[in-house]
Amino acid sequence: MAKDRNEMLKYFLKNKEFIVFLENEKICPTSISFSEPSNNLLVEAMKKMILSYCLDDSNLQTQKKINALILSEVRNS
Amino acid sequence: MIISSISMKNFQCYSGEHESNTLHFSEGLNLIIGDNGGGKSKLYDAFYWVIHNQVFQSDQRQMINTRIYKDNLISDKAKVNCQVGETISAEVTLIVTSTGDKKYKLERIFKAKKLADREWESDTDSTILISEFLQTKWNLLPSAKYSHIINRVIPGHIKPYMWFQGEQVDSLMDLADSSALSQVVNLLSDISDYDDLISIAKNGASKADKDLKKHKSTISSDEVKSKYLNTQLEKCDGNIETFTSQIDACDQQIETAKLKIEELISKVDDAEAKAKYKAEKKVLEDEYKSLEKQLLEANNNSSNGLFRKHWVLKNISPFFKKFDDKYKDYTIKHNEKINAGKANEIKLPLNMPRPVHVEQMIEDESCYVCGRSAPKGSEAHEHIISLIKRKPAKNIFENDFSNEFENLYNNNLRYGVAIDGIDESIKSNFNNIIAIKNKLTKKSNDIKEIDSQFDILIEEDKSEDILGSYKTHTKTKEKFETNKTNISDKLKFALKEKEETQSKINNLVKGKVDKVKEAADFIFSNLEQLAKSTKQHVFESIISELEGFSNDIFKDMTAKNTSIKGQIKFKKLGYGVYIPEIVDSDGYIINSPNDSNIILVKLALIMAILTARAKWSDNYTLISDAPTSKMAENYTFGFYKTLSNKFKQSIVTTYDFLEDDRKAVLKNFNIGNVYQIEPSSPAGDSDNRSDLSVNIREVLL
Repeated sequence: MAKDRNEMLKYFLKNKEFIVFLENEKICPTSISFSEPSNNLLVEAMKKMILSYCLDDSNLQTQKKINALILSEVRNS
Repeated sequence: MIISSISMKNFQCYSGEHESNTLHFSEGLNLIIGDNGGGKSKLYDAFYWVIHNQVFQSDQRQMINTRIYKDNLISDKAKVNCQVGETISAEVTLIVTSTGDKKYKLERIFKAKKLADREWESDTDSTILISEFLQTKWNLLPSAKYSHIINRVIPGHIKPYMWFQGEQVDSLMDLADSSALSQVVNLLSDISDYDDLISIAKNGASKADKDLKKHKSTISSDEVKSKYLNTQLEKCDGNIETFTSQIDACDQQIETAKLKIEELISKVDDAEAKAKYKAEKKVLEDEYKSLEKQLLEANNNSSNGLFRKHWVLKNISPFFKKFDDKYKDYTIKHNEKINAGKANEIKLPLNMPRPVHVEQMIEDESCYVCGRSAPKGSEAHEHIISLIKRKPAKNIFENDFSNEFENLYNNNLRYGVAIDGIDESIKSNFNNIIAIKNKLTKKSNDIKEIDSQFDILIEEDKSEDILGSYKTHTKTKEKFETNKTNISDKLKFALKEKEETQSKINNLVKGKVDKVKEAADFIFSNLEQLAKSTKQHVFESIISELEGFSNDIFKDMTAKNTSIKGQIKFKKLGYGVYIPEIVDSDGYIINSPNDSNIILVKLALIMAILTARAKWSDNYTLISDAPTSKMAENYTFGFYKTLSNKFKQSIVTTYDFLEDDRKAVLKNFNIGNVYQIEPSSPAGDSDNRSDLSVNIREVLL
């Protein structure tokens, strides 16, 4: 893997704007990790974006993966 | 990689074979002590040349390539001793050791043939050879591996901070260049990763937005109008982006002008008046900021008061009164009806006496309850018959809302109390706002007054340059502040226009909006925002970390020197733009620090960069030629001590430790090898370069 996904996630979770968002959604930042799925679509999409980027996927591939996630989540909701 | 040794053959003033021009190094601070003209800079050149094929040309203050410098690389003594028709070479050999104990030899060679006295036919360029030591001998590596090995000795992107000459320190970190720190942050971190994420999310957001707009147009009651509104929306977005970046640019200009003004203030001669002005202005500015906060809070209270203090119920008393009256009427009528119903109720319960007994009473024409006779046709007989025909009693009210009305009434009582104080509460809040605004105006005038006093101070200053510059920068600041206000108004208008247009588009939508498209639009736009703010967060943490590191190192270097003033402060000029400043303990810029102070601060910054996140100080050797040349004597100990503590290996040339008593100080440091070098000429004339060589002597502490 070219980049460290956990390192990147750590910085996202230190972002004040994101912390406020998580507070409003009643999600504890420490509960977010690549091993634990979240019920929140934005959190999952962010993880998907980091993961795909760290796997050196192309930009288009990353977008497609996020779109597929959105499609599946909306249809299952 | 650790540098184990360097040796030179006929390289500039180092004439002679490798054996007589070899220096060995170990971990810690390696010092090469020599007087001016002793060959220190040429030694630095040797390191640089073997790796980068360039030497420092002090006349032009720049690095120049072998192809230009040519046979000037070769020692004059070697050239004089060379016979016509012979070929001689300048060579430098560097031996490096990796952490895995692998040894590499890097040799650079430049050859020239003597055609006649002072006439040389030289190679077009130098040649580099790299070998690896395997078992018992050096094995030449394929040239394809060279760049990898060189990069392990010193990567190109950190070379400027790791290998430098004393006179280059000034230009390495330009304190006036607002992009210098951004460049460092880019070097220190993987911050460009976030640019990639921003780009992914931005492209996704743009596509999702386009898809959603297109979809909404197709389910719009007026497709043409919807398309037109979408075009308007795009214009709004464009304007918002332009205005936002214009405001950022204004902020940057304002901050730069403020810096310049502050700088000029420190140059005014009347130090006492200047200090008084600064102190007074600072107090006033702090008070002004505090009042601004109070005003913001009071304004927030106004919004919150609408519900929390029930201001929304202002002027509602007449309605409450009307409801009160109606409720009282209703209660009276309701109770009357209940009482009337009760009056009509039959006292005996239904089916009492039992129907079989009642039928018997009718037949017997006698009441078993009271024992009196009830002959046919009598009122008593009719009453007994009515008992048979009895039906269950009807509810008095078909729909009874009395409980709900009672609850409403009780609520009215509760809010009624609050309503009574609303006018007073609103009045008090707005009086407070007016009072704060008045105070703000007064403070603003006081600041202006101080400014005008300072203008007078400036006017009285003898230096016309200061006055002229001060006026120019003040005008610039005012100009950009006005521009910012105007652009901010335009931005507000554009945002409002966008909101209205969006609302119009939504109103035209008649069908069911595709939830997937809607979610994609929401998710991607949020991801873009999230990636942007995370990048900013990462940038700011690195800046803050770097500032902390710089000051720690600066304090270390100046620990025993009470005359040192100032600390390093990274001032934010705008989004992602910081500038390093040297400030005093009150936070004011020190604009006339002496040269050694500036150099010390710059070195602290450079060392902070090297020891920060990437830990370059652990992996590469710092090589510097006379970094303390512009430093006052008493600063140099702190610098060397810090260097010996923070870097795994450093090789520094210096003239600071020529005397024995000063050398003794080195015992306290983490010292590697120490050499003393001095020019050697049999005739005793070191200016005679045709006979010049360098004596290298290891110094035992």
